[in-house]
Amino acid sequence: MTLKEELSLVENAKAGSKNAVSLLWDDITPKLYGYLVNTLRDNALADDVLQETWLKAITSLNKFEPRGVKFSAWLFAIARNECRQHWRKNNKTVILEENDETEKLPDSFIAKENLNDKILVDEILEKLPEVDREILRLHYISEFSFKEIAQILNISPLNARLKSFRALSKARANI
Amino acid sequence: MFNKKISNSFKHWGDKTKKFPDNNEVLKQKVLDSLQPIHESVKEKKPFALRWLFLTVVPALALFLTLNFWQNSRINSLSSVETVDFYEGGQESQTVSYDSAAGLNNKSIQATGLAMEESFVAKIADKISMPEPEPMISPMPPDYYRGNADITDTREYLKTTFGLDIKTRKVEKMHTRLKTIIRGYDGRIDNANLNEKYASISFVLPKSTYESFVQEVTEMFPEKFISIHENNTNLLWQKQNIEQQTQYSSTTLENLKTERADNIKKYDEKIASLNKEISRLDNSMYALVAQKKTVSSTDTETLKKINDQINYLSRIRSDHTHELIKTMTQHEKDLANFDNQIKNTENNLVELGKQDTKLINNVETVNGTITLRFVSLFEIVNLYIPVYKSFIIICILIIIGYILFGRKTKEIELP
Repeated sequence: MTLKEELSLVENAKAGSKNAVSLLWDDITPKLYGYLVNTLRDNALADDVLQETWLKAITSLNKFEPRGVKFSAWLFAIARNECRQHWRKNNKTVILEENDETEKLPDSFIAKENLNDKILVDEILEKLPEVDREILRLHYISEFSFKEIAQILNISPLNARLKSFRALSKARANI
Repeated sequence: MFNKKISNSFKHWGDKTKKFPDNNEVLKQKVLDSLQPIHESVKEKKPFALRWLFLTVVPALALFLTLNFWQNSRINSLSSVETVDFYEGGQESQTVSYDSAAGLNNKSIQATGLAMEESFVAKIADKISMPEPEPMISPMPPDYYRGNADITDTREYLKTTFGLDIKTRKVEKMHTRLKTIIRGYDGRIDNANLNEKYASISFVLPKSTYESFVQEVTEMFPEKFISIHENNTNLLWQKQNIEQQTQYSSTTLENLKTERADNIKKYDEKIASLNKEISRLDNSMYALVAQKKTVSSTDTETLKKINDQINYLSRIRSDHTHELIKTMTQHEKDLANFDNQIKNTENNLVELGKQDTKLINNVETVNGTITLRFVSLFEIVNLYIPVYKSFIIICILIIIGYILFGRKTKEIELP
């Protein structure tokens, strides 16, 4: 969906068009849900965060200003914030900080994942720091451009591109 | 290649990861139910668009600085061209300026004292900053005489004056070295000044060593750090002046000598004539005295007549004697006067000969001035990048712009 189409749907949604919201849902949800599942590693939790994200977005739709920001990017920023709040509530370290070390997933989970899916990419991702995983998720699952990733992560586009390049380099080194 | 393969793997992985939740329809319905139409859109007052202000001001400033620099360069080059044209059109002198922005030509015009320089400078004074006054290389000959040089005379007596401005960070060392070089080329140093940041040397060189000297000195410094001025002036007017004066003095000497000889000749003739008359009177008086002795003493009337005649002749003789003495005195004065004039004219000719020799020596030598100025690092940068100030300002503005707008993207406002 192009930016123009998306903004047109958002305007209709602001006017109360359920059809517009439905179309937005159908377009964005697969990416957002895939992102959340990959980030939270918990389908039920991902369902909750997905619902919470959409509800917040819909109720605050009048606050959304489309100047240079895609609606989907805005939605992902809300989702990211929801994830942080969840981790904070559960006394977990916020793992999306830039200088974060490689997240050590529970061995059982890794083992389970390894058993279920032996895809090379998952193995590579496991060895990367969360910051790099976040960049790769946003780029390859959510299909955001570097400018949009920069908006979501609140960094410069150049920095986003650099981080992506470094993440890929690390992935290559890990292989 | 390998990166592309990884990238493709990630794309494939990304596509596989996308999915709807199991209870998609339930969640979707909940969201749709929560939708309320917004009747009144709250329009917030937009903040002042600093980005747009910046994006407008920076290019405008860059354009202004560029145009300003271009205009200054154009005016400088125009001033150089105009003065050269004027100078060449003036008289027989030639001016060769290797550095159009050096300002030598302006100094030459100041030396000539012509009104055109004032009007020209006044015209551009408000627009550009003129270079600092530099020492005048050589005073030009006065125009009132130079205009009288015969145009058909094609001889050349070129007097060369040389000026060299050097920018260096080793003023004292270079000052010493240049003095040694000048002496090495059989030159003579007439004046040398030195302080911490400025030095100058005035010197005279034989013309035969001039070219080699210039080559050696200019090779010592990078091209951008030196500014050479050379002025060649034809001193034909001086040569013609000496020649005319010599010719006049020679003619005068000849005339004086002829007049002196004529004067002596006339004097001799007059003296001879007077002496002859006096001798004739003496003879007449002797005859009357002899006649008187033969006359009886009683013949008083005859004696009285003879005495009257003798007295008359005696008076005439006395007058001739006075005239003779007067003529001799006047002749001595005339001779002294002639001798004096001849001596003066001969001295004048000797002096003119010396002036001629001096002129030739002058033409065969080169007068030069070398100035050394301390150059700061900023000035060095300016030599290579003349627009460095504008460049630095634009760079600073770009950095500020990057810090303000480029470093981070606009933060997404979360609900």
